[in-house]
Amino acid sequence: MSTELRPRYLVNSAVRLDAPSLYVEKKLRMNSDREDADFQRKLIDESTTLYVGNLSFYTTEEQIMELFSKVGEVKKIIMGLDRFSKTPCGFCFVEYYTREDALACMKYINKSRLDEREIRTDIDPGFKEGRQFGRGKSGGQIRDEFRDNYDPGRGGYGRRVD
Amino acid sequence: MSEREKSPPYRDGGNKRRRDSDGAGDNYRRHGRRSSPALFPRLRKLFSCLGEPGRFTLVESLDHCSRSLADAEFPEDNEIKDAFFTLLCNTVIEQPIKTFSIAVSILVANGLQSTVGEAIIPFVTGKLQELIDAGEWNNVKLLFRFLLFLSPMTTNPDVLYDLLDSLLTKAIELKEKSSKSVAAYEIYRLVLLTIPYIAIADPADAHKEWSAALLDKAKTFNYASSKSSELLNPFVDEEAPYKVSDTLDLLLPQLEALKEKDWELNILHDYSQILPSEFEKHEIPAITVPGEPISPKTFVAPEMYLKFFINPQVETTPPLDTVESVIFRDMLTDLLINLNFNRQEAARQLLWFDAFFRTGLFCKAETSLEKIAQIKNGSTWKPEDVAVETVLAGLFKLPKSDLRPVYFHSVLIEACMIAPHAVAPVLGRAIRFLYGNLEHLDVQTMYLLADWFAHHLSNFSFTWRWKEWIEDLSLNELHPKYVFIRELIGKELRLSFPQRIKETFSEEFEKFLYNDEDLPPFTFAEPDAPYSEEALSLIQKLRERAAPEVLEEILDRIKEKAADAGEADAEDPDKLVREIYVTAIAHLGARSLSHAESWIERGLPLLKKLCPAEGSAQREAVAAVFAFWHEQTGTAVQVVKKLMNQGVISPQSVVEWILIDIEPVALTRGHSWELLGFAIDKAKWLIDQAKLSDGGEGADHRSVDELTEQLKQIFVSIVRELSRPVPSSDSMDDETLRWLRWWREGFLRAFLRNYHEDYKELEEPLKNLGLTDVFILSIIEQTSDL
Repeated sequence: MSTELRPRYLVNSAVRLDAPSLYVEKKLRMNSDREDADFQRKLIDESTTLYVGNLSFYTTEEQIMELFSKVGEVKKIIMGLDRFSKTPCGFCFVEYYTREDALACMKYINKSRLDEREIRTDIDPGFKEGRQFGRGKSGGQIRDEFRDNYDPGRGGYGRRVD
Repeated sequence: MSEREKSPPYRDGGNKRRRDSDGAGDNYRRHGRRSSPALFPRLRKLFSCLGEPGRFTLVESLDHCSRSLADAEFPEDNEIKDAFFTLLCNTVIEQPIKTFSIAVSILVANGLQSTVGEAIIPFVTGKLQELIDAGEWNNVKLLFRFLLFLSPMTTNPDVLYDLLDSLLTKAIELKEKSSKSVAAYEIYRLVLLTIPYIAIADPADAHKEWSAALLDKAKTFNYASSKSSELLNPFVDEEAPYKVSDTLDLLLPQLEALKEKDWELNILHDYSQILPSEFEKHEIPAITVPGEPISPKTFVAPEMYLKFFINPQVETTPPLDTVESVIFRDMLTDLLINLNFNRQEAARQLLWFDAFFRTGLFCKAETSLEKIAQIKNGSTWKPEDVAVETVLAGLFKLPKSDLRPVYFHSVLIEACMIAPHAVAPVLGRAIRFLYGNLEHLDVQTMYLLADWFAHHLSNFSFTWRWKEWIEDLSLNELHPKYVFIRELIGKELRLSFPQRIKETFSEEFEKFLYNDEDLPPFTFAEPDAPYSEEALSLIQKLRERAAPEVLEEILDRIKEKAADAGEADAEDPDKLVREIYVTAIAHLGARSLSHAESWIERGLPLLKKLCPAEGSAQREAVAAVFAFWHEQTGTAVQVVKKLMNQGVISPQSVVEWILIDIEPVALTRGHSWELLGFAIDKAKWLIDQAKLSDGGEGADHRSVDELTEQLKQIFVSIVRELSRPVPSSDSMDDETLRWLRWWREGFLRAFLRNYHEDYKELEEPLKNLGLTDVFILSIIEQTSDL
């Protein structure tokens, strides 16, 4: 293993909610390029940016600002857009001025509700141009292409494009 | 592995549900490839949920924990042992309700295997010493309590008494040197809050004598809550529903009463049947008290004991003259604050905290008020009330909560998710209590309430019985209740949208909604507007990214036209074009905050040129933004913040716009409250930034002195403007005038309290304002005492 992924012994009486998700941990662990993994780890450890998922397509930047400002001043919100239609496709990046605010957001906002949906936040290595677009074939997020349920907040049924 | 651990019912440690959360354990197991769970995760699992309601009785769990610990074979390098002991110390700090059962299980383990006590006593003492040296007095309190409950297995428990005694002596010395010594206050508090536990840990006569001696000595500390404590009272007038007191003022007479009862405080489970009768004792290593105890904090506000559940028929929380009220508030507050890294766990522990105490000390959870009123013999203390009241007291603490208000929101949201039937009615009672007392509440408390309740409702489908407030819609529009309803709905709208909120109440409340179907119009470009042609071409040129000179040409044409027409605009043509340009930028950026941001950036050179610091230019820019977004002031606030961050407008101009330019009644708008706080914080931030870059490159940086002067000016403006007599006009009746005064006093009280550290040096300039108002003078005097 290239980096120590988690503390060897969990010495707090409960899990800390301000740690990156398993998804992020796994991505770092799967990274065979040791140097890059260390670099990414450093980015994660210092990041003030959060990825926010499971938003409704109709949730506006103003609503996101209202909720996320509750932990600290937000520097920037970058809405995730459908690659083709350039309309919101259910995720965004929220950047804070301080690391402390970003961690507070993980603790206090992650998995709470916005626009009556349980949103998910995760520590992000930092926004790069291009990442604001969905990576699915349809232009939106991949998860919406492998979804069988009807979700009115995310364009109804999943749209699989072959 | 011993035989015992294999025997049922303990095969899985009885705590399967913990497995998911035990991250480190999984990792360890996966790589260790052992046949049984590794030592640390196994012990962690057992001890971290010891005493929680579950499949096994407390005695069974204690027995199993003790045996597992006694049988544990720690590797010689001490790594696992230290990690486990650290976990125990952290647990008593993060979840102090577990201190007692953990201590008991260690006493039992020591009876089985004396090396347990031999190792843990020096370890805990070492940690305690670290905390003492660092001045972490609240954690000293918690870890000391742990050591106190381990003291039956020590040969020299009087070391603990000596420690408290010498700490108290130090505190008294420190206070004599400086009456505002933070360390003195914190140590005094730590000793006072430890006294009730001494005889619980060991009811020997010697211990009772310690308690009495410490109490007598504590009295010589002469703690007197300062005049300033009035400023920390969430109730501003004589009609408060209960007398709000400093917690430490309550505690002293409570301890006196406890002494009268021979220190008998029966709150814990009866552990006597499992405690060993024969065991080896160990020595507590020497603990040194620093020559001059320190505190990393520079200011600690006195803690006021806040109550939210006041029932005339029956008391659902421990009454204020019993020590239980303060003990449980203190213990649960520590849990709430120290466990803030996992709000779900915090909510879970708060919801069943009563399980860790004597059965019958509280009534059963989820007992309705009617049923409680019928209880003849037995406790009427409702565990949910005690727990929720602790969270609310944390949220509404003045001058500010120990953690961001949103943390307290999040714990209440989680609690409501975990146990809706137990918690929702309790929250409803708290809301109604506060709402019923709104006209006696501090302005800040009101806005904290609106912010919390809107956030809470947004997590629960915005369901509320609005009907019960319909009558209050006919109140004066400045009445705190009317303002509260309007602001609450305003906050809901910011988190949601009008169509959705409309579904949640009856049409009486629809007047607070706005139309969000169309973006606000750019009125200057409407066909019949006098400068519509120029306004349209301004928009066009801005879109074409024309140079500032091109844009200025257009603005010059507007000025000429105004002069030719000889209209009122001609009197101040600069103001006219400023308004048009700022509105144009707001209009172009109306689609979203990102658009607003990028249009401000694009229009920046001219924005800065049109809004010089002198005169009222920047205030007019703020006014233009609010005129454009008058229906959605939440967005106006964000745009103004962006303009402030880009340096187009100064914090001071925003303050002056609020205090001087807008109508007096607009002071009651939530955005006035929000922007005033934001502007002061921004002014402070600018000073910090200037200090950081002092001596660095950059000619544009204004000096620290200049920025400090601006901050001072802000406070002078606040005091000067808010202390002016309310301007009377024919359109205002007596009631309106009365409420106007109420709001102004409320703002003044809140802002001077919250920023007392920042305006301390201002007493002279403030005196020069020639203030005569008794209210304001007394506020200033009280803040100087904070």
